[in-house]
Amino acid sequence: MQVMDVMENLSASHSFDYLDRIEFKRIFLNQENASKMKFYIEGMRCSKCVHRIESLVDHEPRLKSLTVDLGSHTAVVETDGLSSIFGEVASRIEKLGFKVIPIPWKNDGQDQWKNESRDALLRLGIAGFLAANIMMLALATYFGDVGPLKSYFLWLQFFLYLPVVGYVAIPFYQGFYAGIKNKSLTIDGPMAVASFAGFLVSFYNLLQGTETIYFDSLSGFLFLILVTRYWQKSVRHKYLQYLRPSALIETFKARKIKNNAANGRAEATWDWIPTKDLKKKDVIQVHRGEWIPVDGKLIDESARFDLSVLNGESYAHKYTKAASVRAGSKLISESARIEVEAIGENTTLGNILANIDAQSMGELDSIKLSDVASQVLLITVFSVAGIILAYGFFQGQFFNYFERAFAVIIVACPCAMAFGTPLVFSFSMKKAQQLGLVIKKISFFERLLKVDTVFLDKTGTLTNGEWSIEDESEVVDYDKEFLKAIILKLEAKSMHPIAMALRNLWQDVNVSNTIEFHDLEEIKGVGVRAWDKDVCWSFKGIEIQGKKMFALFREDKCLWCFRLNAQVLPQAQEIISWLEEHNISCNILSGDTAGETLRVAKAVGISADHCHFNMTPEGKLELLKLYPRALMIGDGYNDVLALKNSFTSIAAHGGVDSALKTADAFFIDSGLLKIKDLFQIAKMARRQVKINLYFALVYNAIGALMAIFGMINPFVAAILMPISSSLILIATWWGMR
Amino acid sequence: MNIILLMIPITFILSGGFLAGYVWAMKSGQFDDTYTPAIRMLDDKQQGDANE
Repeated sequence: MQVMDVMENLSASHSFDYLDRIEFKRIFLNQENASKMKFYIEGMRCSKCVHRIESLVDHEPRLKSLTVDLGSHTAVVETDGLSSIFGEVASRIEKLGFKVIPIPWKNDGQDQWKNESRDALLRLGIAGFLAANIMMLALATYFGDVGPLKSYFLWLQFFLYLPVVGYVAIPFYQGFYAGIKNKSLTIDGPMAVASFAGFLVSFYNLLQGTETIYFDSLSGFLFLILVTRYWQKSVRHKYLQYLRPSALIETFKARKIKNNAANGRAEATWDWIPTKDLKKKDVIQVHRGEWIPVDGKLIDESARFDLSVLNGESYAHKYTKAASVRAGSKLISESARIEVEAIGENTTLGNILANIDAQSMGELDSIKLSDVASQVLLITVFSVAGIILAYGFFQGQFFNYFERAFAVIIVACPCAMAFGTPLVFSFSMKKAQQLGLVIKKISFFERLLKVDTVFLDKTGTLTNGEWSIEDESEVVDYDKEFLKAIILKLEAKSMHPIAMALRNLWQDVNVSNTIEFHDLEEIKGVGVRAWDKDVCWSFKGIEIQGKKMFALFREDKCLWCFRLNAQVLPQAQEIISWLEEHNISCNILSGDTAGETLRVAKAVGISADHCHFNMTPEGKLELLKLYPRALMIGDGYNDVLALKNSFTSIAAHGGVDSALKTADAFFIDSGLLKIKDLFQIAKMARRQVKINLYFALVYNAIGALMAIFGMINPFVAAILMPISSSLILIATWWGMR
Repeated sequence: MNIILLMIPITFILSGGFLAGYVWAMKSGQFDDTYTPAIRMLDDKQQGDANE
């Protein structure tokens, strides 16, 4: 006990200068961005604490950002890169009444959380022990005929209460002190006053020989409050974890093969389990079109994967047995079994997601609203309590009314209110993550509901990346397979979308028995050509009767020409009409020709006047400026400008890393299909935030009224307080399921 | 009545013993993870495998 107190005193007074020393920074700073450091913050309780810490940014121009995660109790400090002020920031956070522990960037603060929990449990255990014994002795004095021993019983209670006032109540004193220093109202204040004043009054009465002694109710009350706080903290830790983007890779479900991996695939049975429960050497099964949520080794002979989520290049990579496959790869072949090697943030994708900037809840409108609401409530509650006290004072019944005022403060504490809104968004994030959507900013959900126009990129967003050959010319003199192999050879080094499409389309074509070309060259915007001795072969785009065709030439003779037709996403039409029904107008933004754009528009049901073709990236940007509430859905490469400058945006494909630098959200799974679900999640969240706020208001109002009229004593109030939080939790879980 | 003089110290010793046991369990990390132990028996793997 004493050791811990000394530690607390030390950390409260020590200086954080060492944070700015180079030796320290070398270990603790973010290796990729040297202006960021992570702190673990002890003593956070609600979004008000978050708000108080985050608002430090407003008064410190050298601080670029400060984001606090209420679930894991960590904060990310980012300076402007010019000055090193980590020590200063740390001591300023401590001045607000928290304890700061710097942690290495890669650390998630789990160990510190464990330590904080252990401290809380220790205090809880001792509080329970003392309260139970005091109450037992008190029971004897209330009911028993203890005769001359009575004063011994009372003195025993006194001695047992000493550690309560000297140790158990310390967090309340600290909160009270910080509240006074920062001139803010805290619920800790009344509790600190009650436990200490109650001690003095009881001690005085004991010396006087009067029997009005509060040791039993005060120690029981403090114990209950500590239990509540511990419980609320665990609930936050458990339910707010989805606010981290990297939770995606842990919550995503995978098929874990149950029976021995040596069995044939046909009999394999599996369980759907969250990725975080997988262990090394487990085997998971993936089906066509699904992405792998783990890093692992391929068990089957061969399989083909699309790595576009990781590197943005959309074509098939062939893997053979025992090859390492990385999380985020999408399976293109029929099915594959993978032995787990790494999960969660240890995977490549998990690492990318973990490095996405921490999210600040402060910018959410509904968080602002509930913060204001709880602030108003807190002020109201304290004023009401003040009035009750004053009334009691003039009535000459101060103690009776002190009890009522105290009960009002306890029962009407806006903890549940401050907890409800973050909880709703955590559940929304979880739902979105299960759809395979990475969300960078939580405000995305709120923005989505304000959207009145959707702009869709064509290639890859409205089309599904599969192509078919149409309007092809007759092939004479040559074998068509041979010509395909020639085209693949010519396009072998090209990264053009057409080259990738053809490689996907003709995966089975054997390219070994063709001509060996030399001097392969790619002419931007035209095509590719190469030489076979003196003969020039080329493959290029030409325009025939207004249609874009691709043709293979040997010298000047066209051997084969065809049109490549991008297949329109089958569900696109349904989604577009759903959006139009909800008064969201849909537009196509494409860099492609008029003919191709109109063809796709017709197929998905977008009218011609909502088509914008031949658009340059700058043109897209100019157009988006005319629509202040536009949602841009495009790919993370060609649409960077548009994604970055629209009201809100989703990257539907391309590399996750670069896409999330510009877009608010990223679909790991096939893009457009989940839009409808996304809108529904956002609506659900909006509704639930309202329900929670109204519920908390009504609950607090009823509780406060009952306390004012003396129907609830502080003890009952302490029991009612966690019940409101649990009701909010249940309501949110029910409403968001 | 004198029996109380004996029983009260016994109360403290007993409950103090429980408190000591609780503190020991807490410090040795027995409450750090209250979720996994409950589902550990559902895991098909033998203990030996897990330590490989």
